[in-house]
Amino acid sequence: MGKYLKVLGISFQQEFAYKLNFIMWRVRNVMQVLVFFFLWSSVFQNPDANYFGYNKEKIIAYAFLLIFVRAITMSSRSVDVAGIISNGELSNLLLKPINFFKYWITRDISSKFLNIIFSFVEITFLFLILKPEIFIQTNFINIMLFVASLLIASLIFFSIAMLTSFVPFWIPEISWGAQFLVIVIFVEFLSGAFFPLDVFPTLVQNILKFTPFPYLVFVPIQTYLGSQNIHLNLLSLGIGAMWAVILLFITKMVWQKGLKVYEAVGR
Amino acid sequence: MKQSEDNFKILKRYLRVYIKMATNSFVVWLARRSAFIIFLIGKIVRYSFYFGFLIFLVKSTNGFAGYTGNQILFFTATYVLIDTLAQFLFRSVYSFRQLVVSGDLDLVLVKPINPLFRSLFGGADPVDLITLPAIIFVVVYALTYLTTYYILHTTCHQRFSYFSLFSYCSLITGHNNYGN
Repeated sequence: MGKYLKVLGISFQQEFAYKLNFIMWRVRNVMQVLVFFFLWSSVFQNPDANYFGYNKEKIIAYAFLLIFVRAITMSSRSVDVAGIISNGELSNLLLKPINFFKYWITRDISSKFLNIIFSFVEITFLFLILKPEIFIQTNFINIMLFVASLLIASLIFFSIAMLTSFVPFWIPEISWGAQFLVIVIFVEFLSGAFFPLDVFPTLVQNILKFTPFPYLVFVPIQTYLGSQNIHLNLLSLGIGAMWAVILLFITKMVWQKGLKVYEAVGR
Repeated sequence: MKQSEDNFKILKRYLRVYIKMATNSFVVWLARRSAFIIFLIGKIVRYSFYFGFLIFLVKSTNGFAGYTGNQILFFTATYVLIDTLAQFLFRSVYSFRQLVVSGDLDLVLVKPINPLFRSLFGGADPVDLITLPAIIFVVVYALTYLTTYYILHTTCHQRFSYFSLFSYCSLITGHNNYGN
């Protein structure tokens, strides 16, 4: 446990090594949310309007929650694994008396911790500037389910980041390509991070429920907003948890297969 | 006269260099076919999502912020076209940081060519080149729905302004990427 605490501390310090880089990453996140905020504010110019099951208060709450939920689920260092596999640096890590997955989960936690701190600052700042009318959840059960769904979302994202990072075991030149396709495109659009999935027709929404993507952003925010009854919230949580378990299992399996073909190219 | 001839020669030399750099970039991409296919699929899916989202949104809201559905589509398609064009032309700016950090920028500086030109135009992206016709089609498609309005309400000056601003924005987008 002690060594992972050390990793946590070092990783946290590393995040500050390139301060401007980190700040620009946060600025990018805030810009995305501002685009979301202004787009939907113009859609809901009429305060009584109701589109896709949202009123103005709820869609603004969705925009603000995006900052927080993204900071928890999508801030991750495990996306760096692809690079260390393709350039052979993975060998250094394998020689250390440390568990590969625990190491990267620890690094992820450090990244999330820092991003959460910044997200609170950003939310407060935007709240003071924009002064929006926002929906605040007061039901304790919904808040607890929201926290549980965030934990599940983080595990799903970790598995997806790992699985896409393992592609260079077989195709070393695709260290960024697989992440671009899965994380930048599919996760970004199908998780609800770009727009609420209610925009899609019902058929598409039903199909998406069978994929792990909505459980990353959309389901946690829906849980917070209390858009569904408690039974549906629990069902969503259960499906999300099932996806997390399945993906973690597949990740472990692919990792073991990957190690067998790993050639430490460049080392 | 002599000055303009010299300028023409320089322009021709830079054009030759650009064609060479673009060819090299295409060859590098073709050598990594699997990456090429993944990025191509990624871009197509991304644009499909962009426009799909807009179409669903506009259908349900009947336009917003004072714009009709076709105007919103035209606006977004123009933005996507500018962005893609800038990325096609200035793709190599993404690797500029690496040049500086690794010291490889020295190799660019010693060559008898403007280093900014080399850094900006060094690697045309064939993935963007392939997606460009489809995006141009969407712009033209959206425009045809607006044509009646435009013929009646816009002057030649306004149409010229659109194309001028379009070119200007492409250059700005490219330089913004350079800043990153």
